[in-house]
Amino acid sequence: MQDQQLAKGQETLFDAEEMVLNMGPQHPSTHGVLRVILKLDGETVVGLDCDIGFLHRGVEKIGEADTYAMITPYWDRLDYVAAVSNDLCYVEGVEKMLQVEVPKRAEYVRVILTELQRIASHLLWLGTHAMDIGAVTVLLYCFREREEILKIFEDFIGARLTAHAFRIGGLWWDTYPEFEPRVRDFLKILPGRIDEYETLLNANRIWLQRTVGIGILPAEEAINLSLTGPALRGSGVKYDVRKAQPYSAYADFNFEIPVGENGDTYDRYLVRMEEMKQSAIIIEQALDGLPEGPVMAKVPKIIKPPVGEVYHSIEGPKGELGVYMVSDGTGKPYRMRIRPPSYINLQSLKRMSIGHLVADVVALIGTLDIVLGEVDR
Amino acid sequence: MGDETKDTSPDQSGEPGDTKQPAKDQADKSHPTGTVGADKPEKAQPLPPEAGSVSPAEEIAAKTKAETPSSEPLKTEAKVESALPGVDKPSMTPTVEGASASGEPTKKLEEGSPEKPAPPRAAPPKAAPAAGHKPPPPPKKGPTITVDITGDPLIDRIKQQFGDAITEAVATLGQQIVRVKKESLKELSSFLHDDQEALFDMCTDVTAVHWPDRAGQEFDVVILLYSVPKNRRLRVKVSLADGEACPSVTPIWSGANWMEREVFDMFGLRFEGHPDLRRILLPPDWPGHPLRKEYPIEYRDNEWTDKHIEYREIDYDTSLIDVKYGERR
Repeated sequence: MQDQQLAKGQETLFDAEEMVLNMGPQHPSTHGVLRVILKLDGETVVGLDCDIGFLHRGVEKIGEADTYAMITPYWDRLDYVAAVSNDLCYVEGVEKMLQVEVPKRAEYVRVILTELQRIASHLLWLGTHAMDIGAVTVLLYCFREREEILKIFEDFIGARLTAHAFRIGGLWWDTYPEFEPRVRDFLKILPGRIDEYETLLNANRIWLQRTVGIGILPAEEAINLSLTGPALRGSGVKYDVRKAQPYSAYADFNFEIPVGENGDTYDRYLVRMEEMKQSAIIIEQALDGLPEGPVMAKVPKIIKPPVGEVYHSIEGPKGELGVYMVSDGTGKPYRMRIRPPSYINLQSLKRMSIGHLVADVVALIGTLDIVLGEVDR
Repeated sequence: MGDETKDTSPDQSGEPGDTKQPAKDQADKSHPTGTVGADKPEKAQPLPPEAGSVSPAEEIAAKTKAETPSSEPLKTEAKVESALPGVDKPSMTPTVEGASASGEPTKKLEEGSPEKPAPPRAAPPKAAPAAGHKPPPPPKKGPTITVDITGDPLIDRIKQQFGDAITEAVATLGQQIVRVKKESLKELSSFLHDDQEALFDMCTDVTAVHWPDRAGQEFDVVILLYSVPKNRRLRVKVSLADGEACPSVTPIWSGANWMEREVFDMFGLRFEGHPDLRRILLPPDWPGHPLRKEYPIEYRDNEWTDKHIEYREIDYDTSLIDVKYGERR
């Protein structure tokens, strides 16, 4: 009887016109409140539109009403799985305007924390991306390692998720005595653990079928779509802000920029896996060369940057995270624009999805690694 | 596999060169018409295009700051240049910007000084004697961080090719900014995208700034460009009056699509030639555009909420849930 029903359903499907399907905003695989409106022919996507803004809270407007120091915590809540990276972008932007030189030790600690945050963010991405496609096991392993990083953050900063680590001019505190050995312990276990994930996924037949050849973006198109971060490097473009325009102390360290070949979901996965290993290498170098000294530069109590404007960008875990600020010489920014990598990367979802199946849209949302807190701001 | 590095920049520099040849020709052809339009004396002179060339920051500085002797600002200017390691090519002579800010009276700044387009070398001696009665102030907090760009081959070429359409070319903290007239934005963008020396193949961001005090030029649309093969950034600015439409750059950089939609949503600026100009973050019928300066920061929109959320009395059978505890079993 069931078979008959299925057959009947298929018959009508063949005759049916295009169908509009709402995915989200409360869909587990949209990683938040993203509503994707799909136009389907059978199961093939022929049209797509993203409805965003459910989490919009006007951070850019709030920025115009708050002093420079007061804005920093709002940045933690943009990309809430990579709060430390967000802080770095804003804080360095203000420092650039003030022309403050941050002490070397503070810069090294910043690099260590930011790279730890990148690993944590990529682990969360890997876990949820694999879970979306059907490999639930990976999620549990990833959260095990992410927990270690969050514990290091908690002991240093006092918060696990919205870790408000940096301050304009340096750090809030110097590191605690066990900080270095704990990070080193984590670095010791990490490569083995990454091998574990790769054993689970790299040659997994289901994983390969769901990722290889899905959402191919050629390099020129990816650049034209303003894609940044691992999503762009998966297409073979060697653009990483850490190398292209080094900020903080990144010029001191040796590391590779992994790039993909085909620009499909599998390549973007490989790029992120390699990035985690490279982050570990950077942290190790930073720990080895960690200089002594103060962690806070001399910054006036009331921060009033000179009249002018600045654009500063860093390589966040999701892509190029930028801030464009206009100062009118007062204690509040005249205009603060956030360049959110998730938001700008998300617009390529349409280009990548068309022609694929509905289930592939889930994989593609995962591979873009979006966080809706940052998309909607 | 991840270790293998494949640099695509040669491909890119090869590809656009082949495909964009006709586009470049077009730009060359359409260029003269653009300059002719800009050269019209009745248009160019009564309008104060110089207000555009005075950077907004300078304007504010000039308006808000107190007065001091004219010799001092020149000194601070020189100091800035030496203190700025980030500036690509720091100009050794005081720039037009600096000269006008330091040498000319504040009134003149607001009107727009006529010698603005003059070459930077000629400006300081002219401006110094003009500083008669009211020398304008240096910024109270730190010196100005904006200097003119001199000696940059690409910027010089842009200036040469677009002439009067480029109203300003300055560097702030070493970051290059070019201000272009609205009519020439399209040509300039296709030039920047296709030219073999520029190759700005990525549009990093499009945003806007609202300056309510600048009559006739209330909005700045700011386009941030990046060149992957050349590893360089450039900021293009366009001044717009309230209600004017900006030419869209989405046909050239498709990544600008959502950025322009956001500017439309937040500032209410229309983009001509945009394929799909709708609000993006806010609901379609939201009143007002939040990032305009007149939009209040503490704003509660009860009207919109009342319209969209219906308070309904839920009709349910109370007998099902009003169970008296004594009667339950």
